[in-house]
Amino acid sequence: MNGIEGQAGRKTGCSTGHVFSPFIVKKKWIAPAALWIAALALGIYAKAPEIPGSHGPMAPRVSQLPPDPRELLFMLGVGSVVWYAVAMALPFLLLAARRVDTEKQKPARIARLSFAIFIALFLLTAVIEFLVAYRGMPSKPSFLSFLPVSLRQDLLAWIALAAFVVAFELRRRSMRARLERERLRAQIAEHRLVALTSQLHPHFLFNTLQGISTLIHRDPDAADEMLSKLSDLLRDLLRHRDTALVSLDEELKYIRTYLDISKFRFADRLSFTVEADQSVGKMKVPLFILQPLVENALNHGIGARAEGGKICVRAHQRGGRLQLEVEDNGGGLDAPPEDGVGLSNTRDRLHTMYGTDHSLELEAIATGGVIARIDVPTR
Amino acid sequence: MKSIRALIVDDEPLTRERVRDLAARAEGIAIVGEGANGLQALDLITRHKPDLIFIDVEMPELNGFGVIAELDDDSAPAVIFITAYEQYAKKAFDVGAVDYLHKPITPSRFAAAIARAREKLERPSVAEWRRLVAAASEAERARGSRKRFVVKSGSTHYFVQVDDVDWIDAADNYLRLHVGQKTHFARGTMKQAEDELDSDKFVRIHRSAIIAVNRIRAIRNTESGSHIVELNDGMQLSSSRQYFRRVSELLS
Repeated sequence: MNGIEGQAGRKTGCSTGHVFSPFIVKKKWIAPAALWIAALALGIYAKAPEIPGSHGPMAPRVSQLPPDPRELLFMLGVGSVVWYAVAMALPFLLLAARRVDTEKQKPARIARLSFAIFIALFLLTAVIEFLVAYRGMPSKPSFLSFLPVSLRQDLLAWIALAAFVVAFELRRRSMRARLERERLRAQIAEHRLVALTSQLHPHFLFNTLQGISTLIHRDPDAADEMLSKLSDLLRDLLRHRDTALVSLDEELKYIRTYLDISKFRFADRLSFTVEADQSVGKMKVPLFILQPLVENALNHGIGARAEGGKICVRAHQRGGRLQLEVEDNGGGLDAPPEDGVGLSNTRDRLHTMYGTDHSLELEAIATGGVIARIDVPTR
Repeated sequence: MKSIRALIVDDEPLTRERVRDLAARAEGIAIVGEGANGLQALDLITRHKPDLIFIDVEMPELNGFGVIAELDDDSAPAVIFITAYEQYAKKAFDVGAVDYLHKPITPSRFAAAIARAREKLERPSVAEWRRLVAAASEAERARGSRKRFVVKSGSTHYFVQVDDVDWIDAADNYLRLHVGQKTHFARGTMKQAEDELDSDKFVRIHRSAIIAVNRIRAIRNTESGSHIVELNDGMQLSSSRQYFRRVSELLS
């Protein structure tokens, strides 16, 4: 049995989601499609009977009562060709309207195209009306002389259709825009919350308080300093609670305070450096974006090592890109890197801010340790 | 009063220092060791067989619950969890820890915890200890499928990554992990291992064998209706009909 791997591969290639999704898509079309088909069927059926002695398509029949229901149906059929055409055209025009991109296409071009479609539909309907109305007649007027009749009869229908399509599409777009705005607003609020809560991680906060409580007894000055660093951190946090972006200078200042406190926590088993190019200080970055990376480096790179370690935070400009790095000299990656809550939050936040134009990578270094690297466009 | 032999495990040196200070102030407590992570905790517990351990719930790699889950009946210390989180504290209490201490630890709360520990140590109960281990394992399992095993060599503990394991069989109360040419022993039963491992990556082929799916080279039918599974390293294992159903599901 050599085909095992192939079979296993096939299994993963097939997902049940694909089986069900078309059904779901179809479902919401059932009601409009049924209406549309019913209207067309009525029209086609109504055109079928031959009425003896009928003359002229638009003869003033309206003034007389039709003698039998079949003739009424015929009137519905021939006299209303335009309405069936409207019914047929409606879904296609709605779909076409949906594809109009007002940002990429010029208004003049859209107007020209719409007008052309309008004229084409009108002419097509007029031809069909002409053919249906004078079917089997010995003498036909010229098509040109029929046009004004058709125009008078059909113009209103086509204008109504155009108005309906435009109104429907505008409403759809405004609702979509509103939904999108709501979604964005919720997302921004949520990301700000994530930034703040990841900041005020109970683990960090209470371990810091524990550290202060310990130092009070042994080294009151150190306890004092740790307390004032914690206050700095909380002040930064409060000051930025309504901000999504901060300057890199602010972010690095914040990271320094965070690392200063961590130095106390790890009882001098930790040393760190923070370097930044002069040109990058004023660039904007998402608030506290570096903190989860530093926390990771502390927990996995330093915390797990009895002899402690070193953390380097760097910010460089490379071409039009901003590169942020957090490097530790801990044990490296003993398993393929796996995103904890902190890292996956960071990825989410980068995605909201930069779309796909960003990267966040973890790389093991040959000498031991890990570099976490964020690459984003400069702002 | 007999002195309580206690161990402190926390990745924060300042927390360890505080516990050490408070223990020094209380009477009749001797700190026999300090550890900064889960593996060190296991080494120290094996070596010292302490009466009481103060252990941090949140530590990188192997956390407090993970440490307890690896302990057997021989070393059944009274456990006081240390934690920053409200919900862990409550959980620790529910699973039958002697007590829990919130950070920052206060002297009065510490004294109360020690009093409870003394009471507990006067009437040790294996049943209670097993409940605690089971609950700690449960808490570990709730964190998702197993990523690694803790294995022991002498009194030293280390990790074996699940992805490195080729296959597993049972030996008494231990799991025998086969990793290339090496064999390691980890605590646990086949049933637990089957439950804890990612079912897309590992499959039980026999009452006493679990294999890594991506190590399968070939499968042969035998005349008696059972199957032989051959692994990439040439190892051949038989699969009973009852378990082979799962194997064929995985491969079809």
